[in-house]
Amino acid sequence: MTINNEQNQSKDILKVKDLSFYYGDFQALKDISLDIEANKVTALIGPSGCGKSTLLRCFNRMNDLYPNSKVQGQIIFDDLDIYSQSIDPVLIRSKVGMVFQKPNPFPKSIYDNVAFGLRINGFAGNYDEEIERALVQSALWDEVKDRLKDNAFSLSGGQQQRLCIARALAIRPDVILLDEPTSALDPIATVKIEDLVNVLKKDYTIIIVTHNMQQAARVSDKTAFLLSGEDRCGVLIEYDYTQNIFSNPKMKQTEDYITGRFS
Amino acid sequence: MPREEFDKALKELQISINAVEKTVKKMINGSIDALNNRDIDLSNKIIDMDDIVDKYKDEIEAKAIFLIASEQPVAGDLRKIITIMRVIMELERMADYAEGIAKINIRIGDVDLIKPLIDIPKMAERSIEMLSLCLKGYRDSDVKIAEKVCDMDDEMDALKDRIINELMQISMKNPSTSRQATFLIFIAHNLERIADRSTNIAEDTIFLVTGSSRELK
Repeated sequence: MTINNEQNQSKDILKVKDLSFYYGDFQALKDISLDIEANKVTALIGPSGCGKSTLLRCFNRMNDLYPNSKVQGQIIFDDLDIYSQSIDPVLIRSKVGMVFQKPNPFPKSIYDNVAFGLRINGFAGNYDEEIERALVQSALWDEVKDRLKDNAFSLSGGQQQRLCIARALAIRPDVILLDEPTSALDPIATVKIEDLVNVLKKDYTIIIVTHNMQQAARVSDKTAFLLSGEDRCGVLIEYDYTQNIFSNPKMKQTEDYITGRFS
Repeated sequence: MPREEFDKALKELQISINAVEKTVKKMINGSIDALNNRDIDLSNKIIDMDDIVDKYKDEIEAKAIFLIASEQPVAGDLRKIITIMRVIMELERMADYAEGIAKINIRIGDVDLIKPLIDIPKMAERSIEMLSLCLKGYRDSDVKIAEKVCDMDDEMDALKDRIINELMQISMKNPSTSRQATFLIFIAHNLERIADRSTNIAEDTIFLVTGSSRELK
């Protein structure tokens, strides 16, 4: 956790402006506005169904894959609205990588998993170097350097998740989205991922969805608390430095949620 | 409402704090009674009572630490536990000061007092009032009461200064009284420190309620 409020503003890499999101007729997010600081870890917290994973998927247009989904408002990334018609969602996803709740390596070798993104993007450089870089960055290199040709499924759950992070890092994204990345892992593997997040934020902007309050408090610099209202539509209740959210939140709903008194 | 076990544990800690409050008040009152009545036996009893307070402190701290480890409280819940740990520390220090008065009384020995005590019992009475008030403010999460405790502390400082001046004059006029006069000044100092500890509890209450620390002067 960041102890001192680092109020010296760094650059906002993503700006969410009045974002609403619909699955068909159902509105899942309503008028969300928040800015994501570069090279910081931002945690999205809230009860199940509040829309935090939906919001996370909006950052790389993963929600486009849902039929009849609709977005209103804007997400500005590098001065471009990622939802404007001229933007290629595949390009966005190459800049904003994602790691899911359950480790989902491809049924390929460790090497080929990391090489996958490079290949489909037509990378023409030195694959070995890039794959080593991604595996070093994901703190997996020392454990797999002698068995790169082994099948990814031979790795433990925690190693598989770090492999998925390496796969995301291989194509050098600016932002990494983590959707409950440790919920399927044991405490030791969880600590490794959390330590990794702290290291990765030097080079990447990280947005993490987590149900684990202490994890949000430990790893994130800023925290956004979302809640679904009576119409089941997710709204942003409070967004602040993590230290403020977990020490002295401004909103009663935030305090009730983080202290487990939510009724 | 969720977290019933946690709330129950907090309530139990609060009950222990109330018991310590009673013991500390008995110690302050008893130490001054023993001084006034030249009662060495009572002084020894007060000294023994400090062990009871120490035991409470150890138990409360151990339970509070386990609650932090097991419940991982945040925000208001965390401040409640932190404040309990701070309050019990202040109460334990007050008990030490009362014990100190009892020890000084024993060192004064089996002799008459150099003057009838007026302001020292008044200081003891005020310190107990401040203790009651600061703990009421803490229990009720009442910042206004906490601020009132601070105002009372000014009176304690004035009483202590008056006692020091009076005893210095007495010992200058009659140097044979200087040993006991010095002991009585120490007692006034201890009572003033007890009051300061009440002010600390008042500041802890402000932290509990607002989440930020503010020194009351």
